[in-house]
Amino acid sequence: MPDTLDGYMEWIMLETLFSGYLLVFSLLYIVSAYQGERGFFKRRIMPLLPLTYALMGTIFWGLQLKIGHSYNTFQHFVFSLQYPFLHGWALVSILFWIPFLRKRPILSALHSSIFFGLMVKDMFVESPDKLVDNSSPGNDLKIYSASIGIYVTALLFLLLCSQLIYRIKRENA
Amino acid sequence: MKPFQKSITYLMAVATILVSGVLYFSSCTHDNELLVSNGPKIERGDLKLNFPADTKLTYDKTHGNVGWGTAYLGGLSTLTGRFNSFGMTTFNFDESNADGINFEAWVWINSVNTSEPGRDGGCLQTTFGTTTSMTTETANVAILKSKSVELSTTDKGYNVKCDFTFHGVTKEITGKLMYDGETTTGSGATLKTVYGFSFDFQFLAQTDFGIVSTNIADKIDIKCNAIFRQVP
Repeated sequence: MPDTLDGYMEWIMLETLFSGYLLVFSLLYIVSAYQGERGFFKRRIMPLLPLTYALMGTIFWGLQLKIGHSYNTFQHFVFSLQYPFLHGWALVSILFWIPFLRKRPILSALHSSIFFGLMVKDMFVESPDKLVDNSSPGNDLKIYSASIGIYVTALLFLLLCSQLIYRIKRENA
Repeated sequence: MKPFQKSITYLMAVATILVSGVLYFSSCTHDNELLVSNGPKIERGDLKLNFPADTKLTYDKTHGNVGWGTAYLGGLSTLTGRFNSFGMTTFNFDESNADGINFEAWVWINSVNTSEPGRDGGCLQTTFGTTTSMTTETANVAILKSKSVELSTTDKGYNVKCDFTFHGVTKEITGKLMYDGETTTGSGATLKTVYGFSFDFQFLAQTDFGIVSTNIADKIDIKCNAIFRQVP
């Protein structure tokens, strides 16, 4: 866990937007595996997962542009970041809009595993040494839960949109 | 997706779910943990003082003080002052035994000193119901007499309940007595051990003691310092 307030805010934003994806992906992957190739989850849900991840990446880009706008120069903004590597890694998630990556959901899961791993590390490795009380694991879990909720919501939103598009296309055909 | 990739992905998915389950489980157990504190570590010595029974112990009035402070006109300023004439009738102190602690002290109210002679000899005397010529008259003497003492559990001090007599009224107040430490002065024949004590308390001058004033606040803060010197 970061030692500064700015670092902690960054950490919350990154984990909220990206850590919950891996669990949502895992649950849906197992369900789809049980359903088989013709199942609803396999045909309708799994293809949407990378798009959901890319949507979060887009939101993250928007947040960064909004925050970066308040800095005088791009260099100032970059220098102010506590986790430039993680920021760069998170910004890459927007590439899952590209069909080549979108058709490989496992890549989005691997991309998200970095953030999931950091969450696990923070809860099990760092917290007991750094804190005088036990509030940190609870806070981490709230962030993780919020992230899962965001992905479920985003997935439902994309599913609704895809169903609408599918219906419109079918009616126009 | 190739069968091998599927297997790896499947294993990764199962592992993720298991790890997430452990995260939630461990976090839930954290909620049930209670922080246990034994409070601050308070160590008290074995100092015993008996004034005036111990003839080697003297009260150093010159380096003592009885000060007061209160808000002026609802807090526009803070009025402060002291009393020039005060003394200690008895002072018994046993550092680690609350039952061995008791004291009685007095102040001549008309000796109030705010560094404004016009006020000290004028309106304050009227407010207190005294005159500058008074000495030991009942109306001019404020007395603080301890009733019970408890060892503080949060610091090295002592919580003292006292009867406070002022302006013809006696009420119980609670204050904090602190033993501020000791040092030595002089050498050889002039060697003395010096002990410092302080006692802070508050009282409601208008509500409890019948003081009538539109200038000062009801709550008065009193800070007392006492020095004792002991020859070997």
